[in-house]
Amino acid sequence: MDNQALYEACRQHGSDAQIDGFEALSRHLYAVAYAMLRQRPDADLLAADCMQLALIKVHRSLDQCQNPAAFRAWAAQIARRTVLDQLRRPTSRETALPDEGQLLPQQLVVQPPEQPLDVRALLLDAITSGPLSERSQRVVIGRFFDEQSDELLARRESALGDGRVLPSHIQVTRAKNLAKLRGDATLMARLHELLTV
Amino acid sequence: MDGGQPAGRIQQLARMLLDAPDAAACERCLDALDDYVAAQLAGDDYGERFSEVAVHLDSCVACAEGYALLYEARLGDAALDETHAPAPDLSFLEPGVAEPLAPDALRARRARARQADAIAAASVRVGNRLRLTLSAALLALLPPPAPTPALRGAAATPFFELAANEPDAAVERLVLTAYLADTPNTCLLRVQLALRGRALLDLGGVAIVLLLGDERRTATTDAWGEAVFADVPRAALATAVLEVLVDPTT
Repeated sequence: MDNQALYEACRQHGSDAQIDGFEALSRHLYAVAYAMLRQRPDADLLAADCMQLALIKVHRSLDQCQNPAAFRAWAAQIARRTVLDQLRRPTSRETALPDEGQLLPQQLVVQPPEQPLDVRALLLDAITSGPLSERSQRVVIGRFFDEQSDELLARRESALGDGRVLPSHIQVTRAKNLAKLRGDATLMARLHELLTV
Repeated sequence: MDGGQPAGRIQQLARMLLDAPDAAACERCLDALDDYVAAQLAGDDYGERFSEVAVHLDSCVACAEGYALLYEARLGDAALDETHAPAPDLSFLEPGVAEPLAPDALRARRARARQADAIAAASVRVGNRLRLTLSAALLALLPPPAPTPALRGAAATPFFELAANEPDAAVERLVLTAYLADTPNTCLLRVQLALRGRALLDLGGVAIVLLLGDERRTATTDAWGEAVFADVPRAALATAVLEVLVDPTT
């Protein structure tokens, strides 16, 4: 069934065509959700839950589909957003993505500089002197100091070994390490001081 | 790393560290994330087009993890496996239904509703008689019934059964069942009545008229409320009219 026909079928309230349409759509949305969740031990159940929620959202929003020729893609977008929302629920956070490296919630200790530092020097010192791994340092510095894209950083990290590194790995690693920097009260105080002067 | 980097990125990093993301920023990010990933996979300048998303992903671990799931799933979009999905619960398609409804259960439910509507439309009271007008469309809605005892004892093969529940004030239930007969192209038509205010063994004596084109046949119910018409041409069923002579005021 092509997208337009599937869309029309889903809109035929009270008909068997509508049932056929939503049944077909459910298979697609389950596959979309499962593709995002396949690393999780509860992938089957969670994908089924997300499929169900997404079907209901699609049903309620059918009139908002502006391009029926891309109906599956539109519905898949709803399913992917549903997965993201479900994963952000408190019970889902317990089995989040595997770690990208050292992620101990320890506080970074930035030694108070003997000489006044500018923002750049302060940040660079925090990144290179703290407990970030070398890869984490490269990922943060590459983005903010060298203006490198995640694609380039991923290619470089892949070339260094340890398997294929995706841009998404780079992004998660950087976000986690920046979160750790944010947890350093001394660094934050110094930054605040420098930026408000 | 060199000394020529613009101060803008460093400022951005500093601001990002100081300004913790809020829920509204997460919502905006998630709303745009699908398009952000699509642009990234298409090789567009996604960081420029979705700069707010890019900044937010650096400052929010939860959104960054969501982004990673999305990115990696969409990398493998072409290999989506649609063969292992469980049956969905389609009860949301039926207002007022609280229990789960698998697709097949919903189809059956809708088929029953269509039958009931068609039977109600085919039933009309004319004076002292309830008239049921058969049609090909109505018969097509009827599911093949399971084999049942016909005529209280003899096994037979029904090929349709039409059940009208409360078709009017006098008749509580009217069941019309057609059975294959020994003679080719004919059938045996059984009418089973339940009348309001009359008990099971007090259902005798009700006249049933079967109109088959110009032919008019009459039978009378027994104490069980049953009347039978034999040797009914099967071809005539699609235009047959059945009349139950029972007055709602008596």
